[in-house]
Amino acid sequence: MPKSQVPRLAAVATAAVILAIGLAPLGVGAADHLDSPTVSALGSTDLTDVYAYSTNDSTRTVLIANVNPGAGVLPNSTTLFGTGVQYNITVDTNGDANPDVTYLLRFAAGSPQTVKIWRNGVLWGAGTTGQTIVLASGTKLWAGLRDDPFFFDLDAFKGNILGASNGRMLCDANKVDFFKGLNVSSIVLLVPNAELGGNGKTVGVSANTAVQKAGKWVQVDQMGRPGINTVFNNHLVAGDASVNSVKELFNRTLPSEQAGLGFKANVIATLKAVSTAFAHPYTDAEASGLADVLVPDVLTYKVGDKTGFLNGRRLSDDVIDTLLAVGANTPGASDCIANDSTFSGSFPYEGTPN
Amino acid sequence: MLKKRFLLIPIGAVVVALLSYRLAGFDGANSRPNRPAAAVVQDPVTQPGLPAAGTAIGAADISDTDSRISFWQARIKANPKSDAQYQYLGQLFALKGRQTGDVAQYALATQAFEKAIELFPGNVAARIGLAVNLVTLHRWSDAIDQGKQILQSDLRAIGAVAVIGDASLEIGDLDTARAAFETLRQKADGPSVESRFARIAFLTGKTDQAIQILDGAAQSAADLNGSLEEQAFYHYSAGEYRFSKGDVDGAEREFESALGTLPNYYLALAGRGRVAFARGDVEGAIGFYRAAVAIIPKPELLAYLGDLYAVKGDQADAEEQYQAVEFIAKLSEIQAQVFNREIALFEATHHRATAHAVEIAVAELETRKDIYGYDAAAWALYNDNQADKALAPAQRAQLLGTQDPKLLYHLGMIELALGRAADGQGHLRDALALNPGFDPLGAAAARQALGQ
Repeated sequence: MPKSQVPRLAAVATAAVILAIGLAPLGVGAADHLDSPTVSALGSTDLTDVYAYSTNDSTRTVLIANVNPGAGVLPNSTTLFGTGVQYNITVDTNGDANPDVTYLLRFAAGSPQTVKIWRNGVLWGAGTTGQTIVLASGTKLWAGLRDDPFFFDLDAFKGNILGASNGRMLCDANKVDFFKGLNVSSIVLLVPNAELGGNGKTVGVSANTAVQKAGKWVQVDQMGRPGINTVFNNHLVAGDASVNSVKELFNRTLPSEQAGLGFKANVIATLKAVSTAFAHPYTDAEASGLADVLVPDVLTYKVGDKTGFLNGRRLSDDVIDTLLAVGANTPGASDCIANDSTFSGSFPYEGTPN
Repeated sequence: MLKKRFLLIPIGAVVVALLSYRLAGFDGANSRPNRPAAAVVQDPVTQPGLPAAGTAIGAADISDTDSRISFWQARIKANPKSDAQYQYLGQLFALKGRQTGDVAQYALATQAFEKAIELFPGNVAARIGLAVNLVTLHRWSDAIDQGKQILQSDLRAIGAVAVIGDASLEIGDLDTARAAFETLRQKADGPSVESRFARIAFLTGKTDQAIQILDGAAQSAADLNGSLEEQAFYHYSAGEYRFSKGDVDGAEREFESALGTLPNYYLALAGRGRVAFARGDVEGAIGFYRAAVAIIPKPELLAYLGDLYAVKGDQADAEEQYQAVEFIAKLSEIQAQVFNREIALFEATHHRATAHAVEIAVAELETRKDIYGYDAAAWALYNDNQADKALAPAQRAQLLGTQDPKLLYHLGMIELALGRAADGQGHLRDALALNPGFDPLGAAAARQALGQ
């Protein structure tokens, strides 16, 4: 599942609650605390999913980065991109986990919001949200509110695997797609394959968000493959008290630096534990080999290859089923939830908002 | 109950009135909005479509919050086994409580959070929500205990750190509060963290620093696309501190910014009222305060409005507001607990039940030893003819060097009553130097005591 979906929504809520406490208006003289407003900033920096896939004619690649989980319905979330936020979609074309192509987006206040895009530091174009913007070399950009394309039975997963007391199991009679009916803020790019090194090239796609702290841009979230942070930086390997610290660190770490920080060990430990629990234990070598693939966290994609996840990620790919099968070393493991979004055959492809 | 007279809104408040669309609904005949009829509501937390029991007291625009509440209630009905959905619902009820001043919303929020935890004990956000509610309901030590428990099970639960910090600040434990906020700063960032330092700055006499922090917070909140309520709050808070030091024009700009962001923000309306009074425009002040009170009839707003009427010489209207304050004091245990400090100050200042004021102010000092608690106890004792007992707490209220004209005025009056002329006059002059229009009754009383 997208790494952001399980603890992400909870984490947004956690931090959003920080402010539900007062700052006294001392001038009023009552000297009593007031309930100050809650913060909604995090939604606009919170990546939910990244997609990379080939068009049918294998001439272009679709790159998508989604933010703002539960846009407009979570407490204090909005349907807007952050105006003080840098949105980056990066592509590593030479396998060193460092970006070779970076698309950087900034949004301004307003409705619709104006958007500017830079490619490798050069201003490339501008427009507004909700509008198809045509850029040099035939690249197209669209940014705005969309139906969340993700699908997952979150509560069954919690009941089955995370120990919730909700009576739910994967594939039970009450299966439900938690994300049906929710929206996200989406950035969609349609890029000619030559931009990414040409057909056949294996690239690593990733997205990150950054905000300014003391005048410098600081990464606050990053994402490549779905589910990595959620699945592999978990209570088992990190301990209850520290697990969120570990997830947080992962979000703030560049992919090129992830291997050096012990995250591979987390992946190996998790693969072995989960596969053992499903009675198909991975050997050390198998788990280690998988860990080498999964860290660094970039979405590996062969340009022009239409296969789908684990090659890139298409909108309707059932990444949950794939991850459950991989994690449990059990082919066929599934949450029994299929895609329920209506996608379009034409740009920008994702469904209209709910 | 409160009667809403027809609002004579002066020109200065026309813009505000246009934006506060709910004001249009008020006329002489309406009593305050009725609570929904007591339909049998099996589960007020999740009943879709109906306003939850005890819905908006006033006219704050909560349509967006209500629609989000309905959204999650409908989803809970379809999928009752989701802890996350109950958690969001709880947070929305708490938000509604903040927006409407209806303390009963927090009870609904608590129910929703408890349901979330029942479904998934690992839902830290719901546990934090419960702890935050405890702070709101003034259950300080319970809140601190809960915060610590949450932190033991999740080091990353910064919401719990905030709860501990805020509750500690409210009971006067500045060291713990400061440490907690420093921890917050390490683990998170953003205006919500920085604004807490603004409060400490003000309390310790650094008003300019407090203002600077809040100006930055407002800008950050705008850049990150924070909620409108949040942005308005920072502007409003900056306005309060500016007003404290007598920067009336600056305060007015901040309150206007707050209202520009959130048109019917009752606190900013009251702020504009205080600005108007400080400029000698009593009618204008009355207009703003009537607007604020129409949205949320909190005791301190009602008391101030009453004082404006008293200054104007309109005793009947003044009395109507004062009686509303007394009514709220009797309303329910929960309301009384949340408002008891305002009520003590009101009863003391207006010499209504001064013995009761002493009783509640001194009782609260047992559990809440912040400077404003000492000030309330001091003022209550002074007005109950116990000036000798009032001096120590009044001095204690000055310990941090807070530049708050009201604290200085209270101390000055007590010192004069005890024959400490030089000290007393000095403090009264300090109060008036900070802001000559700091309060309708207090500023006048200070001037009179100085023989001006």
